[in-house]
Amino acid sequence: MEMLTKLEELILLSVLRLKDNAYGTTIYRHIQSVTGKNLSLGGVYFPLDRLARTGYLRAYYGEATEERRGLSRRYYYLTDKGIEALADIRRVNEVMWAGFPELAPSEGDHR
Amino acid sequence: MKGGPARSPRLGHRVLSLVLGRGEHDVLLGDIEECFSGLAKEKGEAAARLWYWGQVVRFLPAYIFFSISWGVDMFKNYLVTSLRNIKKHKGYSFLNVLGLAIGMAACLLVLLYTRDELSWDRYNKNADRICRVVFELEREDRKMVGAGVGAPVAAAMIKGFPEVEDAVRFSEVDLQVRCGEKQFRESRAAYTDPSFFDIFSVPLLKGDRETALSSPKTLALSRSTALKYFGREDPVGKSLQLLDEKPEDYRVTGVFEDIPRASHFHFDILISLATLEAAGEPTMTSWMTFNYPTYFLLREGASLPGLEAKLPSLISTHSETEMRQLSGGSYADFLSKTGMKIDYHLQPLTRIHLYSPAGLGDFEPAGDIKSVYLFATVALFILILAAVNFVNLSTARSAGRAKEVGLRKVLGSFRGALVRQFLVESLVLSLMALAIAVLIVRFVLPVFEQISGKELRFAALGQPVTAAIVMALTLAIGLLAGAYPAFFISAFRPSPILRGQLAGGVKRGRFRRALVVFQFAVSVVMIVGTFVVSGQLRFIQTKKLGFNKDQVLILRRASLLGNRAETLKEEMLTFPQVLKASLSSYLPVPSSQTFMPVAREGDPNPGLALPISVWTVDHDYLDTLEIKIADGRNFSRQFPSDSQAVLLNQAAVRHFRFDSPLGQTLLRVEVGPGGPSSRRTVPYAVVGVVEDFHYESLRDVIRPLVMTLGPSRGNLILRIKTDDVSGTIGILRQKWETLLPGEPFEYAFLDERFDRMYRSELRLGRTFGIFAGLALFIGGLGLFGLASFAAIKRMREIGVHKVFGATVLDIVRLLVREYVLLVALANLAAWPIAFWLMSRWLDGFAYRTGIGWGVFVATGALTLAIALLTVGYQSFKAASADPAAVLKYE
Repeated sequence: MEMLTKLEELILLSVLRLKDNAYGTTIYRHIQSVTGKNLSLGGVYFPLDRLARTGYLRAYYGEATEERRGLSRRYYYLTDKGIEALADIRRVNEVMWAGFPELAPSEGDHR
Repeated sequence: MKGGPARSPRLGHRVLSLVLGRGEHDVLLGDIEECFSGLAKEKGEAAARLWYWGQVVRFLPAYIFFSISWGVDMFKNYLVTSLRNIKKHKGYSFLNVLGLAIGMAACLLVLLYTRDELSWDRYNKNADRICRVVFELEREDRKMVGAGVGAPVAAAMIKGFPEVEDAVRFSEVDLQVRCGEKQFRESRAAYTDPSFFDIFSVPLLKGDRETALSSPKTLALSRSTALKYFGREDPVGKSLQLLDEKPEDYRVTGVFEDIPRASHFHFDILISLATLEAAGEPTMTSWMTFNYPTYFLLREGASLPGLEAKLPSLISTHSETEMRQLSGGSYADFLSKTGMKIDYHLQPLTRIHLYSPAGLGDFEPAGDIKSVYLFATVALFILILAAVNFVNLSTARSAGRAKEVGLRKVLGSFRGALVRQFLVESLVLSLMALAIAVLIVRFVLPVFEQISGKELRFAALGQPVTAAIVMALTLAIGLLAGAYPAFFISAFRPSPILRGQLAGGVKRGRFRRALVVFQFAVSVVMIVGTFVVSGQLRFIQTKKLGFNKDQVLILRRASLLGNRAETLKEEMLTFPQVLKASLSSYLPVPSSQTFMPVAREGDPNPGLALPISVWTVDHDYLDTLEIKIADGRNFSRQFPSDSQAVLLNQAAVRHFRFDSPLGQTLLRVEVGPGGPSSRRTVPYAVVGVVEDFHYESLRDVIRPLVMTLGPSRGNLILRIKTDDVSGTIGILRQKWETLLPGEPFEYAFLDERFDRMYRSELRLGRTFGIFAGLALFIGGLGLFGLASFAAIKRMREIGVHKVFGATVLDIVRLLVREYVLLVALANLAAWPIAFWLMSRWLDGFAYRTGIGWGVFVATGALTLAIALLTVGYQSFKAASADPAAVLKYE
């Protein structure tokens, strides 16, 4: 499997979940709300950029609003390579995590 | 925005835009803005602002991390492209790298040299706290400097001044040492104090530090000297015989590690100074001598100038007392009568090697900060030339790369990326140049050692500091040299280039032409320098010295023969190879400097007269050295009264202001065998005047000289025939060995002594010559490259010319003219500079050549010839090309 960092994995998953609305701001806010951590936007942006360059994600430019000082959004979607990578991670994770009932997530604690 | 839009902090936005640059990271900037307004709506503007600033602060580390990981990828790309480019233009790259490599090699050599010179005496742990006394004695126009004071100064300084921790004195000797069968001459020997081992970081390998060198008639040997006398045995406790007037045994009390190479003294044998004290050596108690080089170890934080200020009064107070005891007069009286001025300075140990004044008479010949500067300046210029070359060639080649740049730009390359591409390429070239430079240094190091007259170690390049300097220098050159072409080429506007028009024009051409002029101007200065230095050397060699230095063989240490020396002299004269022979301790070039007060008749106090050179010679001295008589006669055996006669040189006649010197009387104060109490004034009659001859360097004017008749057997001086010189030496050696079995036989030639005196000038001449050659070579390389590009660029123009009937010669003339003009301009610009510099150098000689027009003409011709050769070849190639091939695709 490709070794991606945890942050990269989270970014890919966010893009998958956010569907057509996956761009910098939304990805950042999504990861922040799930992890509860106060991340730096730059810290998300650069891995995002690298994932796009290395072919896990593809990007296209979207609209520019006044809210953004007239700078356009860049939307991302997963490539096949990205989807494969996530599937890979999932498979490995399940093998690695299997058989530890004491680590199972409790009710209402998911996502 | 609705209802009073929340605006992000303007300053924060500015900072971010500045760091990221507009364009590449606009999306991120937009995202930040959007996040900000989202947060402002949810949690209020204050929280949003706080968040915003937090982002700004945390942004930088993330950005740096990103750039590095991204940069590595891109760098690989740049590197591959660079290597591809270099390979594609092998010839050009070779010229470019070679030029730079030569410049760098020159720089590396000088770096090695400089670092070595600066490391002198640094092996001492306390190097920064050690200093020595230097005196300066001024009397009328003559100045004397030396490193030495009276023997009691050391102890008085330790006692009187708390900032002085310790002191050590030296007194150099030349020894004959015997140990059983073995007998050697030891010229690197000195009397010294036991504190030597405390002050200098010379480890005592054997023996007790407390007692080594403390009692009379004890000595310490260096490790290799101990090995020489005692082999593997432990020398401590054994004894050596020193052969002075009578042989005496000295006990070895210590063995010290050989003194490191980078030291201003290298003693093999140290004898306890207590020996001299016990023997009642009179100078050991006198304050008024300068016999003992004395070094002080200062306490941490002691002020050197402060101590220096206290030194003169200490010495003058004690000298006062001594003077009164001796003569009843006061010290101040003595100074004012003699017109003497004495100054004392403290010289830091680390400045001894490079900053000692000339004529100080140190233990060993010192270095000179001037030659460090000279080498550094010249090497720096060579490096600048090489870098200029690099810039010039790269820029010229931009013509060839313009299309590549245009295409890259059209394909959306950022200008920054292009600049980086060019910088990487130039860095790669400069690193290649460095590798070649190191190779060059490896091979030319022996040659450079000869020029600089010092031993250097190649491995020193690997020292961390040196290596760091070298790397930094290389990177700096690569970046600087690459910067101009990088920014220049990347600024091309793509559309005209792709249409086949070259950017640039007048401005660019002017810059490159200026560089060519600069290069050749530097070469011209160096070539003129070479001519002038070698011209002055030739002048020295051929100057009428007033005596004949050739074919004079000198037997050293003839005084060991005692009165058998005269017998040997007569015996040698029986051989047909020996024309003339003379016995004297005094030799010209460089002369054995002995100054004594000599007064005109009627001087009330002849002992205080101005000291001048006095040589003791025999009847045959003038004949042997072929010194001419100007007036009067030579010493003659027919006049027994000549033992009270003197010969003067013409300078001495002027010195004494004699109108008719013959028959005049001069007075000398002599000390009889009974010691100072038996001083008496002796009159000498002037019987002859010799023509002035250059008994010292041509740097100085000829000084007054007085010759007296007397036995003085230091050297046996033989004027010999040119044939069979080695046979003559063989005979002399054989005689010597039968007379003094076991004594080393030492001989010299007068002209060798003479040449040795001008070693620094010879070195300068060679340095200039080699570096001038390098400069010219680099300049030629640059011109070669430029001309070839010009020829390619003007190919179509040439083709058209040819079609319309121009001959090859016409075209060559057309192409060459521009460069010839540039070189001529460089000559005109450099001549005044070279003239000024070299005139100043020549001013250092009292006797010198002028700088004639010939020098400049020759330099001009040489540079023009080089330019014509390099450019002409390229032009000829271009001009002989078939015009059809060139014009085909129009």
